[in-house]
Amino acid sequence: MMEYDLIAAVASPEGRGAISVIRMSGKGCFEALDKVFFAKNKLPSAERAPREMLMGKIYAGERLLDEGMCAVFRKPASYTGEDAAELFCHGGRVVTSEILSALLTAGCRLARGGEFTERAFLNGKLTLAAAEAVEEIVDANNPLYVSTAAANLSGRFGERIRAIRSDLLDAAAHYAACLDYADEGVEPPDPERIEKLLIGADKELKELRKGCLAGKMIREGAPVAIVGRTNSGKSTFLNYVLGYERAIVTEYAGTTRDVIEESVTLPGGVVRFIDTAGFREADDPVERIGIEKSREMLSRAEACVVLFDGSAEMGEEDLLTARAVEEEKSRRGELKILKAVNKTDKELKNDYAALLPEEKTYFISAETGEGMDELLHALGEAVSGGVTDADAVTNLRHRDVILRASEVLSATETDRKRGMTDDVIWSGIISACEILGEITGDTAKEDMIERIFENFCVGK
Amino acid sequence: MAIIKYQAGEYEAAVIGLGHAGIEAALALARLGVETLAFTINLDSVGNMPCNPAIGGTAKGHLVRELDALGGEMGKAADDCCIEYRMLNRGKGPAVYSLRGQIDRVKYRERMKGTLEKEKHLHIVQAEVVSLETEDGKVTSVTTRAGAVYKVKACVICTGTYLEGKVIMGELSYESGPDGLFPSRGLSASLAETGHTLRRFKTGTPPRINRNTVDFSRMEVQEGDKDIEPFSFSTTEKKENKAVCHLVYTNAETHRIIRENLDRSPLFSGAIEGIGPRYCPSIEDKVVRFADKERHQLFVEPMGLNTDELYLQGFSSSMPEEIQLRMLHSLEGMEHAHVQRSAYAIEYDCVDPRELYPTLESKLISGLYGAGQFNGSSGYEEAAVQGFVAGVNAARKIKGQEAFVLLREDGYIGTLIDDLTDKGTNEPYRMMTSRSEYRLFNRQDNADQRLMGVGHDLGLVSDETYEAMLEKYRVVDKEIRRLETTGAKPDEEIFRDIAERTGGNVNKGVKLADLLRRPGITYEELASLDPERPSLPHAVTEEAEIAIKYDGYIKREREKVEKVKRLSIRTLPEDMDYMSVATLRLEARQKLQKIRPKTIGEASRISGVSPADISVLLLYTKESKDEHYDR
Repeated sequence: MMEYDLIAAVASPEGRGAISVIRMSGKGCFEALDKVFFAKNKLPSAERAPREMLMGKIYAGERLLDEGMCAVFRKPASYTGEDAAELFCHGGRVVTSEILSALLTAGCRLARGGEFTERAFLNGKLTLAAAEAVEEIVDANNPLYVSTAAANLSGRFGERIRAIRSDLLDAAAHYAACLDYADEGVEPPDPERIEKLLIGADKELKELRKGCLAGKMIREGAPVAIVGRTNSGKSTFLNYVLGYERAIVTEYAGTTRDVIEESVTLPGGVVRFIDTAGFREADDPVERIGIEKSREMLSRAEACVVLFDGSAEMGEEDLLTARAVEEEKSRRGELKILKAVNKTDKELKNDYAALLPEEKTYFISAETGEGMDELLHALGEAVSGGVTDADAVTNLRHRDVILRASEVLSATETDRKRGMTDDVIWSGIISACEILGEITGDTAKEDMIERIFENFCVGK
Repeated sequence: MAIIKYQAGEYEAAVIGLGHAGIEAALALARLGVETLAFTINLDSVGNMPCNPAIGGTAKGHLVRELDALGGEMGKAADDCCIEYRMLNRGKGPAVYSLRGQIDRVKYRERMKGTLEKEKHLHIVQAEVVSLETEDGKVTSVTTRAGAVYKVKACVICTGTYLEGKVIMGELSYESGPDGLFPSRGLSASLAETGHTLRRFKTGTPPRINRNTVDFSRMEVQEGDKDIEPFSFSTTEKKENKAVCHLVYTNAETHRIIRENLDRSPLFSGAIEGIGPRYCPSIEDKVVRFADKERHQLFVEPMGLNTDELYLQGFSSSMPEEIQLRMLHSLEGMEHAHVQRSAYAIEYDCVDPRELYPTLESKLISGLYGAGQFNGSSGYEEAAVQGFVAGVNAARKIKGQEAFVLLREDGYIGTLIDDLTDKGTNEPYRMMTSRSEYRLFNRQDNADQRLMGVGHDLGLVSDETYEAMLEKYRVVDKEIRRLETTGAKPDEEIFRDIAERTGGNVNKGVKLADLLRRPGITYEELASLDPERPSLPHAVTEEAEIAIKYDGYIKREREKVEKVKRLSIRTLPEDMDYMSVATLRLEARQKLQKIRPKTIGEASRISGVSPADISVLLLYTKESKDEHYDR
C-alpha cells in the first residue's frame, strides 16, 4: 500500500449546523491529531482502540477551541486504507475553520475535492466503478438516485455487462478460430448461433439503454407537461404533488432536500413538471407565441397530464388542448398521456369521455386528494418505463459505454444480415467487446485468444 | 586438450545461424554495405525447414508480403520454390486473406545458399559459435568451437531450436538440433554471463513418410488455387501448381492407442520442461484436451518435387517411436506407411524478449541483437521478419544512423515485435490476425503501399521497384475515381438481381462504386454494366475494389489509431514503485515493475495490464493541479 502525505478537510457541508466533521488521512495522521485533540483518557491516538468515539478537548496551540469527539482508524481498516481520523466538533463556520487551520498547522495539507475517495481507490479499497458510484451518491440530489447508485455499487450492473461481453467474446473467438486457423478444419461460425449471441447481446444492451434513459430521468427527472385550460386546477394539482412528495421523503429518515423548481420524486420515478400556458385560438401575436411555447414544452415531455374541470362544461379550450396532445402523440408515435377529470369534490357536470377517448380517465380531486394516489403511481410508472431502480444506469461514463457498444453491435448485425464479409463482422464484435471492457476492465484481444485455445482444437 | 584460440579476422557484423532469421539478417546487413560474417552449423541446412514444408498461412502470409515490401528475400525465394499456392480465407474478407505455399524444401535451401554466396560484403562459413565476448557492455568478438576469434561490432543471434537443443521421443532424450543436426552448445553460458534471462521453450514435429507406401485413393485431395497470386510484389512470371496435398483423419483407434500410452508421453510424464505452443499442440495433447472430438484433421504435404517424402501436418508427437508407428498405421490409407523420420519434440534455450528493444537490440549488451525462435517466437515467417529488422538495425547502428522501428499501426511486423518486446511471451509466439488491432487497413494485399516506401528509404528496395509501386497506386486511384463517377449501364435484369440479393432498389443512373459498395457484389461481375472498363491487372482492380467496398470500415479503424496515439504519449514517472499500488491487480503490478513502460501507450499493451489498470495509471499521471478534477 502506498503511503501518501497527510490531508485534511471539512467533511460536513459548509455553514452552520449542529455538528461539523473534519476528516484526515495519510502519513503521520496520529502525530498531527495528537497536537490538536486531547482525549479524556489521555491516551495518544496511536494507542487508542480504532473506531471508538472518545470525548476530548480540541486546542490550537495553547488555546482551547472546542470540546468534541474523535475516532481513529488504523490502516488498512479505514475508508482510504491509510491511518485516518474523524473529528466531530460543534457546528459553526468559525470554530470549524479554526480547527481545520490548527490541523493544517500540525502538518496536514488541505485535501482536494474527492481526494479521500481517490485514495480509497488507489489503495484498492474501492473499484473504479464503486468509486464512481460513491461520487454519485455524494452528488445525488434525490433519494431514488441514491439507491440506484448503491445498486451499481453492489455489482449487479457489472455482472450484466460481463455476461453480455462473455457472449460476444464467444462469438468473436469463433470467428477468430475459423479465420486464424483457416486451414485446420475449424467449423465456420454457425450463423444461427452467432445470430442468437449477437441478437441476445444487442437486446440486453437495448435493455440497458432503457436503463440509461431511466438513469437520465433519475438523475435529472423526467419532464412531464401539465396541460389543461385555465381553472382546470393545475396549480392545486402541483401543490398537492409537492405535499405528496414531502410525505414520501419523510420515509427516508433524516433526509431533507430543497424542492428545486417543480421537480418531485414519485414512486417509480422523478418528475420535473413543466407548466404550460395552454392551447387557445388566438389572434393576438403575443398569445400565439405563448401557445407555440406550449407546443414546444409538450414536445419535450416524456409524459403529459391532461386536466379537465369536471365541475364545468366542456369548452373550446378543452377541445384544442386535447387536439394538441393527440397531434403530439401521432407526431412521435408514442406519448404517455394521463387524462384526469379534476374536482370530483364538486358536482360532476361532464366526464369528458368524448375527448381523448382512447385514454383511461382518472377521476381526481387535487383539492381533497381523492384519486391522486392512483394517478401519481401511474405517472411514476409511465416515466420509469417499467425499469426498476436497480436497472437504471445513472453513471454517465457507463451510459456512454452502453450507447457506444449498442451502436457498434447494431451496425454489425445489420452488416452481417446484408452479407458483409466475416473480417468486418468479426472486427465489429471485437470493437463492442473492447468498449464494454472499459467498464469491466478487461482487454478483448487477450480474452479472445484465451478462448480460442480453450474452446477450439486448433493447431497443426 | 584445450583449444588454442587464434585471431581469425575482423568483420563489422556477425550473424549466428542461417535459418530464416539469419538469412534475412545477413542479407540486410550485407546489402546495406556492412562487412558481414554469417555462421551456420551445417552449410547444407541454410534456410532449412525442419517442420512444415510450407511458407505463409494466416497472418504469416501478411508477414511475408510486408517483408517483401521492405526488401526482404523470403517472398522471392518462396516464389522460386513454391509447388502449390493457396490463398486462404477467400470469401471471408480481404483483411483475412492469407497466402500459403507448399515449398520444395531442398530447392529452397539451395536457392538461399546461392543467394547468400553471391552477396557482396557477405561471407558464410560452417562453424559453431561457442562464445561471445563483450567489453564495457558492448559486443567485441565471437569465438568458434575451432578457436577462431572474429572481432565484430555487432552480432545477431538467430539460433532457432539449436541452442542447447534436446530432442525428446518418449523415454528417449538426447542433445541435438533439429533434423539430426548438431545442437549449439556453450553460447547460452555467454548470454547468461552477460545478464540475459534464458528460458526453455519446446516445439514438436510430426513424422515423415514415404509416398509409395501410402494409399491416396482413400484420401481427399486438396488442390491449389486456379488463379495464383505470388508471394512477392516483384514476381511477374506466371506461376503454376505442381503438387497437391491430401486430407486424412484420426479415428477412434488412433485415440485409443494414444490414451492407453499416455504414461509414455513425456508431455504427461513431466520429462519435458519446456513450454510448448498452445496453437501447435501434439496429437496426444489434442486428444486429451478435446476428448469429445471424434477425429482430428491431418494434412499430407509433399516435401518437394524430387523426393517422395511426405509431411503429416497435425500429427506432431513426442510419443516413443513404437507408439508413433501404431498411431500412424491406424490412419486410413496409412496402414502400411513407411516412416522415414520419426516425430519428436525439441527443447531449446531462448531469451526473454522483454530484454530487447523494439530494434531487437539487447537492453543489456550494446551491439547484440536477437531474432527468431531465440526471441521466443515460432515459425519461419516470424523469424524472417525479425532477422530483417535486427539486421537493418545492426547496420544502421554501425553506420551511426537512427534506429529503425516499426509500430503496431505500421503492420504485422510492428505488432509482432511490439508484442514480443513489450508484452513478452509465455509460449512460442505465433502471429495471428487476432493479434492486430488494425486488420482492415494492414492487409496483405496493400503491404507494398504501406511499406515499400520505408524499404526504399532504408536502401533495400530499388528505385525501379518503388516507382512501379507508386505507378500501380496512381492507376488504382484513377480507377477508383472512374468507378465513383461512372454510371452503371442500365440493365433491368441485372439491376433486379442485384436489388434482390442485396436489398434496396437499384435506380437508373446508379454509380458503379455504389453498386460495388453493396455486400457480395464484385468488381468482376459488374463488367457487363461497365462497358468502358479499361483492362487492368488484377492487383490494381483488387485494390480499387477493396478501397471502395471497405472505405467506411477502414476510416473507422484509422480513427482508432489516432485515438490510441493521443493517449500513448502520456508519460509515466520513471521512479514509480508499481508494487506499492494496491489498486493495480497483482499481475499488472509485477509486469509494470518488470517492464517499466515509458508511456501509458506502452503500458496499455502489456498483457495482464487491463483498461482498469490503465485508469489507475491515468490518475497517477494526472497533474496535481488538474482543474477538471473535482470528484
